[in-house]
Amino acid sequence: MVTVSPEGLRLGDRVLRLLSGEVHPWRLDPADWDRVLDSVQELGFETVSCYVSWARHEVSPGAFDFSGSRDIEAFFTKVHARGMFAVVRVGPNTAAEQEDSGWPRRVLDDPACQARRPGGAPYLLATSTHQSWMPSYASKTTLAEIARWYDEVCARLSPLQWPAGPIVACQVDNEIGFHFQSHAFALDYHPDAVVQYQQFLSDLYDRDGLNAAYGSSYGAFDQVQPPTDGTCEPEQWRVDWVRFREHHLRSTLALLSSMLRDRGMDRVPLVHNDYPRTTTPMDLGSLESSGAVDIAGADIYTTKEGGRFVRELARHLAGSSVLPYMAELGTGWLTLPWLLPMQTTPLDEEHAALRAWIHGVRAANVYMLVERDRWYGSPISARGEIREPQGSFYRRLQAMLDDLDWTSLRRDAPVLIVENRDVSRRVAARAVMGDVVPCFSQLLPLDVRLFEQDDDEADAALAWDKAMVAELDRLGIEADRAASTSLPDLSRYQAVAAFGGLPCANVTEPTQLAALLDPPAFRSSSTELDLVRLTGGGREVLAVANNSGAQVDTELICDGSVSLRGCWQPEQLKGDGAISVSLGPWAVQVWEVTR
Amino acid sequence: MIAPGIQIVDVEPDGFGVLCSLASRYDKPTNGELHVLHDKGRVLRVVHTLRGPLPIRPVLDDLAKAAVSLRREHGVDRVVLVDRDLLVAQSHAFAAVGPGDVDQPTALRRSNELFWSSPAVVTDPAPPSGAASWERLEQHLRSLGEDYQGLLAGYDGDRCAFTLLARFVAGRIVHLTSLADRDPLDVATELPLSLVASLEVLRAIATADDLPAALTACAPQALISRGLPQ
Repeated sequence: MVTVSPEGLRLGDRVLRLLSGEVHPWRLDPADWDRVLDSVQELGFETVSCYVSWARHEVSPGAFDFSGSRDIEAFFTKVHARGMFAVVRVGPNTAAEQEDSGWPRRVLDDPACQARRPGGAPYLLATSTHQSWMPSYASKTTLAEIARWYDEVCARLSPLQWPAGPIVACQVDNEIGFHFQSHAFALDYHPDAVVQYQQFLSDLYDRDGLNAAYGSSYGAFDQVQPPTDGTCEPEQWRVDWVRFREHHLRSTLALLSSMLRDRGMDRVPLVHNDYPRTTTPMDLGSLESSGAVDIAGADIYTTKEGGRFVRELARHLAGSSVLPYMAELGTGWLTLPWLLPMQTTPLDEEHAALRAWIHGVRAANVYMLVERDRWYGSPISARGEIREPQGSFYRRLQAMLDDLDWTSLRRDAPVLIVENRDVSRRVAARAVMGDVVPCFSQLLPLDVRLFEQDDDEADAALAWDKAMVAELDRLGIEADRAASTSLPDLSRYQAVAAFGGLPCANVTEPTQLAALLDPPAFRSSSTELDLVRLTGGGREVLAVANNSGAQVDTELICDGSVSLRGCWQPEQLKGDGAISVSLGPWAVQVWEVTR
Repeated sequence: MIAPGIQIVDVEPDGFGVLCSLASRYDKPTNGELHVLHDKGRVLRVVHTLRGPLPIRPVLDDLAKAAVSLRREHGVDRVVLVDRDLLVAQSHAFAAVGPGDVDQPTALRRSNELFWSSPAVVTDPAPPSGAASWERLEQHLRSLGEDYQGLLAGYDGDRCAFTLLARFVAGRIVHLTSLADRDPLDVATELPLSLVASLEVLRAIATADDLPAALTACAPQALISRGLPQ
């Protein structure tokens, strides 16, 4: 039985650092599998992560093919024989630049399966090289189809769970959050979703309570229809719909998890990943605390300019998850420039990946470690050739994580920034025109902010958050983040800051922070440097990221005499009370500190 | 133009990154646009694409005149007035632009064309109209042969910054890859379709409102162009 610990996955007496690389064996020539796995191991990876695509295996309705490049048992047997491990991602959604996101077309074309807009239109998603009507996870027809897929795939994978096989974790679905649609009134108005919504209300209220809250005179809950726009009144009706959407994601993942466990995937942790979105309808902390999944992670693809976005996402994972997990940490990018063009370079990837680790991530899946159709820039080619300098980056990263026993380290993060979920829900409940809001902005030549209303509360919350982060940067203090609906153990924080005055918070304004906090062990006058101190296992580590495209030459202020051993870039520095440091453009450095 | 099941493999990473940067419109110099959402003339929201939401509520008695006057007043490249209910009424039409085997660039184009021709939309200047030129381009690509290759290459000064070799079957791209181990200037002269040009020229094409028309017009600036529509 594999379990989750704050350091990684516990396999009997061993804790496995969960640092995997994504490989899609079904997109490779099986003759290259061994060479690819050789290279994966050469870069220091013990674990591979693999989508198992429903659409690739269901070759005709109800008929499944697990032969040739689709022979997952043969591939995982090779993985196991090498003493390696595997994370399997069984969908139903397996995205990955496939047509139809890995769903069989017949499922998506079935009107009974399709997610619905408020006016009843099906929801069209740009998936890879074309587009598809996306399914409703409330639809009983969809769920019955998923059950048949799980029957097939679990029968093959469940015998391969550790220790009999290499599988140490199983991902439930992929980025489930309403098909990239955060707009509260875009989805899902499928008739089965409406029934779920009515059940949700009946769990919240009795009939009189509902009528009092809504100023209505409903005779029964099945008379209540969902609000369809941010202009519907009263506000509580809309906010309850937003809450239902959070509940729907949580309950759907719980259902899919139970379906997997019932089919034998019950000896490994179940995980989920969302795209980098931490607010409603997503609630990563609640996904774990409710038991819907064991680990709720997030995906990130960005350039170096997005380094502070990575920082905030990592901080959120650190404050919300038992094992902060970047379920897709981008290396390379998809080859669909007409939809999502992004130029990514080795420097972009180094900056983003190191940012994730220093700001709290303790587990990651490098996506795509091995290149395949519709992807470029991976460290390993589809035939197993290692590409430099990306290959060297991962060798060095693995060596540094080993050298410092990284997962045993804990950041000095004395502040928790709490997202006031009541505010977020009210803001979300003011969105408009969910009938036409596109999945990707290229579908409509309209500024997406036209789908919002003027909103003083949203503006104030955003300004508050920016001011809080700016004050933390000024003080040189690291922080965690969490939603008010899924708070971590607050005793580990000196300050808990929340917008709008929550009972958990002792800070409501940035100016209150300084008086509550001990000064950081290292300080810099440069606002471009983000400093993070980590300790554990008798070690003290200092990490720094240059958030600018310019060289930064500055002094780090500290107490007493210290030596710094460069663990990322080799160097030895010494100082007494102050140390001169130089950071190249967008550079990240990690030092082991000796006092 | 994109065939179902297209294979995009072995693209040289640095060069493909350059291609992606060309395709990005974020760097394109612009004065921004003014997008106005209204309910039968009552303004609900105004967003300047560069400056964000604006706290103004212009009078929209005559939509066409208002679009002209707002464009002049705010110095933007375009004004788009959108009637909320009329646009929402087209949700089924938007959902139908691209299921099945309609390729993604085509679906994006159809969705935009549906928007610009919608009774919900009044704009100044006149809507971009690339539909006819796209059809001409697709027809032209079919006319070049049943199964052939085309090359796109970009030069940064004397240095080849990227190459993209495409195989076309029945006018649609079925395979994309980078050119390996050969001089693109040599290869370009052997293929029925090729465009080799500086990155500046290619950036202008990639971010043009009417890409096919820009392709047709680019020949004088290209290092090599063969088989482009006239």
